Amino acid sequence: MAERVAIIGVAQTKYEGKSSDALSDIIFDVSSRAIEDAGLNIKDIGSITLAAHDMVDGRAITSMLTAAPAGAHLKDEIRLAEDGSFAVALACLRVLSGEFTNSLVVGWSKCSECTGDTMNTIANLCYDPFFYRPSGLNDVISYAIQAQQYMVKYDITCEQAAEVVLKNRANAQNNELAHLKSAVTVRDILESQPVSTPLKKLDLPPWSDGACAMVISNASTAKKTKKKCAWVKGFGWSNDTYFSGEKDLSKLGSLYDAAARAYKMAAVTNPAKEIDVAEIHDITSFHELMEYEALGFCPEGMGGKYILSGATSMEGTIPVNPSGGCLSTNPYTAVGMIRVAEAALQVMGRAGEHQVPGAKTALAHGISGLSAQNNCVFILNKNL
Amino acid sequence: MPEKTELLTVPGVWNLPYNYSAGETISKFLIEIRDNGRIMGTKCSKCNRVIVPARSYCERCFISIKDSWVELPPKGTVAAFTLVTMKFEGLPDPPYIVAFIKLDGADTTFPHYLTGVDLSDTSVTRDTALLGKPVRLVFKDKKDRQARMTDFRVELVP
Amino acid sequence: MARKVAIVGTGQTKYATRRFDLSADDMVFEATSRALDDAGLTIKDVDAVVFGMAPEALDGVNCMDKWCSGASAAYGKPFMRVHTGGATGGSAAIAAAYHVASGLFDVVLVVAMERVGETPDAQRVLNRIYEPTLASEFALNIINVVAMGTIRAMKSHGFTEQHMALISVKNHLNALNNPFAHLQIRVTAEDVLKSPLVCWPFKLLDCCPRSDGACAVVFAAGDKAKKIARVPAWVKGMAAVTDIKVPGETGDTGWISADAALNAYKRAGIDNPRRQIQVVECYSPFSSMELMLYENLKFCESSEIVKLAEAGFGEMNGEVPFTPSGGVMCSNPIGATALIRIAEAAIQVMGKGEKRQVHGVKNALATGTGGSPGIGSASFTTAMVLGRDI
Repeated sequence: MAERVAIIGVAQTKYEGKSSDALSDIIFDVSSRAIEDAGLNIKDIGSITLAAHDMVDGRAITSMLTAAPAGAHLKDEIRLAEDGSFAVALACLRVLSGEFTNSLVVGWSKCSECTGDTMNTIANLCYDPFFYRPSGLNDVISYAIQAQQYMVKYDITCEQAAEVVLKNRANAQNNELAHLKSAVTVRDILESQPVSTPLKKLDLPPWSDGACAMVISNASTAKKTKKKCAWVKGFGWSNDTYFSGEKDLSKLGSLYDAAARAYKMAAVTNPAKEIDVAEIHDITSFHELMEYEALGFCPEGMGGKYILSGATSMEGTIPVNPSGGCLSTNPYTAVGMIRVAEAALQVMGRAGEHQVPGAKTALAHGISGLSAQNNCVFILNKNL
Repeated sequence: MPEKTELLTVPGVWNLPYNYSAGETISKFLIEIRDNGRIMGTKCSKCNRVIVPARSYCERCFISIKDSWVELPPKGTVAAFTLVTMKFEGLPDPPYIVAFIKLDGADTTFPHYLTGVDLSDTSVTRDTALLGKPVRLVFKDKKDRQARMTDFRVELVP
Repeated sequence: MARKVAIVGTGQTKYATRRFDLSADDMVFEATSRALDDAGLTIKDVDAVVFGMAPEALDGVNCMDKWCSGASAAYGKPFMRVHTGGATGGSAAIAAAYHVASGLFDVVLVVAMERVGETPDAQRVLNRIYEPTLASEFALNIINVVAMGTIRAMKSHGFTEQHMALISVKNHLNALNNPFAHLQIRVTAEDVLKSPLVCWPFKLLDCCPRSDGACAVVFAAGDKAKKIARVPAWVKGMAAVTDIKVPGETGDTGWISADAALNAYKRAGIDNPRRQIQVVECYSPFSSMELMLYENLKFCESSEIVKLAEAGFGEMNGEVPFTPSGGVMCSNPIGATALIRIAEAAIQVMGKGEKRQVHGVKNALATGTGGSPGIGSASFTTAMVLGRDI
């Protein structure tokens, strides 16, 4: 990357299971605070990049009603219907083009507004009506099938997966913004309600309400600011086949590719050594283990042993999800953006009680699409 | 000559329930309608616009305006309208007039049905004459109000 | 933008009320393959894909882009989906151009689609785009909200249903030259005025159809573009602006902000569009919108709209042809529509317009519009100026 971009401001809401605030108020609040955190004014914002899903918001063109509170009036604004990490990627492209000095990026979901089983129903509706939808697949079931394949191929155990939940839920207790803050034990996890084998309730994230925003800036502006920045060293994203039946379900194929692209750009050759902290999209407990492998932290098939080694704990060589991850906080569309925000806070030294001491290089990862079809990876650095 | 393939369609129906949080500001706006039979707006201290229905922020100045309330009178003008004559699925049987109403003193407008127009002669709405005509708000009895925009109707002043 | 970007190929499907013969992914595959063929490229040459699709409720599959991603040449590639309502195709194209302009990708494909035919009534879906706690009970939909804006504009700008009918006649006539157009019927002004009244002043023939279809466009970086296409269509300037307004508010001119076009002109070095732009593929699903765009796109003052309409300004042999393709009034697969404007503008610049080619095209303008005025509601606008000269 000849030109460089940096994250110069970050804001998040206090995540919860059911916020009584209007969606537009949540968005206005987090957008205003991100702009303020960047030391800027709405007048200074050159472009807006949003991430939101119509069906989750229950609004047939959601950005029609949510662009205003995100500061979009008379601005160049665009919305992706993808996980928020992809909006961060597009925002970086927009700034790298030279057309804009910065971009305000905002992502959100208010899952509580989806009554009853709506969140699961709309996931089922992502499938084509001919082949996959009639089998009753939804996101949870699609992840369960992947977890099952992974377990069987590499002898991964439910106890190893439970360690992910244990770690992330404990980490969340040091994140004042996290949704789920109660302690859980391995027993709680293993005995929680079976959902779809091998997944039990506590192997899965909650549904949460919340929003995240950040400001991406070009290098010359970022250099002038007195504030700490998180420099984007590399980023990459990649899309797998939609047809789950045609891919190896025991591994996250497009994450291998997305990570390779990001590492190449960032000149990272030994991730486990060069990355100080990682915020990854733990869409299920088993997926975090698969992600260790796809991201090259450990060899293929070794995810279960890797977590048992303690490497990804707060005291380990590469703490993963100090924020508590998706398993503690899941405002659906915003999850990947939150990973980027938390990774940025780590290298900015602003992660408070869940700060990894001395973190200089952080990795962030987000998933979009069922069966983890689309993956996005960021490498952030404290220094240019 | 290849045989003509039979082309299928596969049915599907979406029935998705949602429950939208109105939040503090819109809740207060709707409750004022229900409990006090009056319309309240919010005013931006920077650009001085009075926004109805009340909104917690001004999208132009990008500041919070949720503590600055103004009462509006139950009267205004027709800012925009159209007479709908074609049936759309899930929407009411025509004919009916949909309009955007500007209350006296407000800078923004809101949508509502326009009543008090004789629709047996639709030619009255086939020109721009209704624009700017005065309207009044007629509230339901308090016991029938539910904190919704339908707690009142908008009537053309005869 | 430091890096030059050009369009080097386009592909479209034939638009129709329903494409019973193609599944959604088949349709995407057809448009994508045609675009790659037009550019003389294969899937191996594609560095990234941007996908555009508008409200999923129209198509009946949530995030249909994921299902169709393989058909858009995105297997194993960077892929993201844009959704800005009716402007989607324009926003997706602009996003694809930024992919190239960033320096990180050389050849980027943008593919956009919609299957409006899968739902029996699009307006029922488009009723759900308005504010749910304050506006949901009042039967708003796109047709009646645009009708309301039109009535305000008729009062302030003086045009009539008769002027609107001329636009409808022109577009239907142009569509006969476009092999991809959905509606290919000849209509007279009397046909338009006598067609069923939807909501005044819109009769059926003042409105766009509902269409299935897909479109794909290939963007390439400067040096590569010159090697790929004999005549690339250079992106001279592009812009997008979101305008928040409600019909009839203080200061409402009856139309949405023109800033997207103005910003695109500035970036393209256009200071006199009427002289410097030879063809306009504008986003106007309703006859009245095209009239408003004469002024909104700065081809004239508002007081001149009537004069220009009566002089046949936008006809094929008029001063500046508007929508030689037949425009949105003859084909509207919503998520793709704004991209089709860009494809058609590129076709004009590249000299590939055949029976609908305008002569002497140096610069072409493509616009996109999405969303709608309403309570706290955004209208999305995009604009792209394409030219023969770099």
